[in-house]
Amino acid sequence: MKRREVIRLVLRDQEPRVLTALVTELQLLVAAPPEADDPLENWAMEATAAPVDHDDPVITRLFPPAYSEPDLDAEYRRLTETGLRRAKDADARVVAGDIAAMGMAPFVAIPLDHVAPWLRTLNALRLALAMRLEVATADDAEALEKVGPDDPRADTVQVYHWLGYLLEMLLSAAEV
Amino acid sequence: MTQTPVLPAGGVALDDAPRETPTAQRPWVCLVWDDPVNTMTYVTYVFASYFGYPKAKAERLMLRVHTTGKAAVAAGSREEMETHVTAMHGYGLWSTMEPGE
Repeated sequence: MKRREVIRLVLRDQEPRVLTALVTELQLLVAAPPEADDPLENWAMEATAAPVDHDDPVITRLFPPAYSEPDLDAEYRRLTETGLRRAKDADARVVAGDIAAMGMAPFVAIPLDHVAPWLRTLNALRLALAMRLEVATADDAEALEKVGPDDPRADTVQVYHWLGYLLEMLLSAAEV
Repeated sequence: MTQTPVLPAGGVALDDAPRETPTAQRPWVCLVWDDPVNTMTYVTYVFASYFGYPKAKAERLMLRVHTTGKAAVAAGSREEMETHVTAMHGYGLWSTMEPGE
């Protein structure tokens, strides 16, 4: 049986615009340093790039510690953080590019080799919104189900659930 | 076949000498921790697609994370585990590493 080369994910009305705005926000948050072809120039840009703000709980969740010992973790961060920031930015660009290519279609066409960047980006957006909604425990996550329409968090919660829905749709469509 | 340890003049058996350097040889483990946001299907997907684990193993590991709070998902050299932890962070999983038992 031939595998489909493209997965169609339905995005209607304002949804492409909302998703693009969220993806742009994520890119601003990870603030990946620009990449040059020249390794030396690249190194200089990495060395002078502004560090991400680890006082922001969203950043801490997207770039968590790898080691319990602070010294080892600082070294890990020094060696890996720029790469991780660039990887998250590259994933986000794939998503933004596929949405930009939708035209008037009521769905976004996701080539199979874009599925992983899409899943990682949708998941990163869920994590970011969950941190903004101060979800720290399973009880917190469950409490989101009871947020009513008059709650100031209602819009954010709705987007959070929608992202979860898109993630599950894409996972089942990709049959992975 | 039993070999009698060679006893040098000092009386210490050579077999007692430490083999290589234990710290460099000690395996590390890559841990993934439970969190309330990542879905069970997504975590299973990450274990299957990144580590190449069969779906049954990926699900077993995901359930261990979910029910016990964490699971060791890979073991090996410190360098290998750092690569895995970084990949897990790329997927948004909450992952750390520590020396194995």
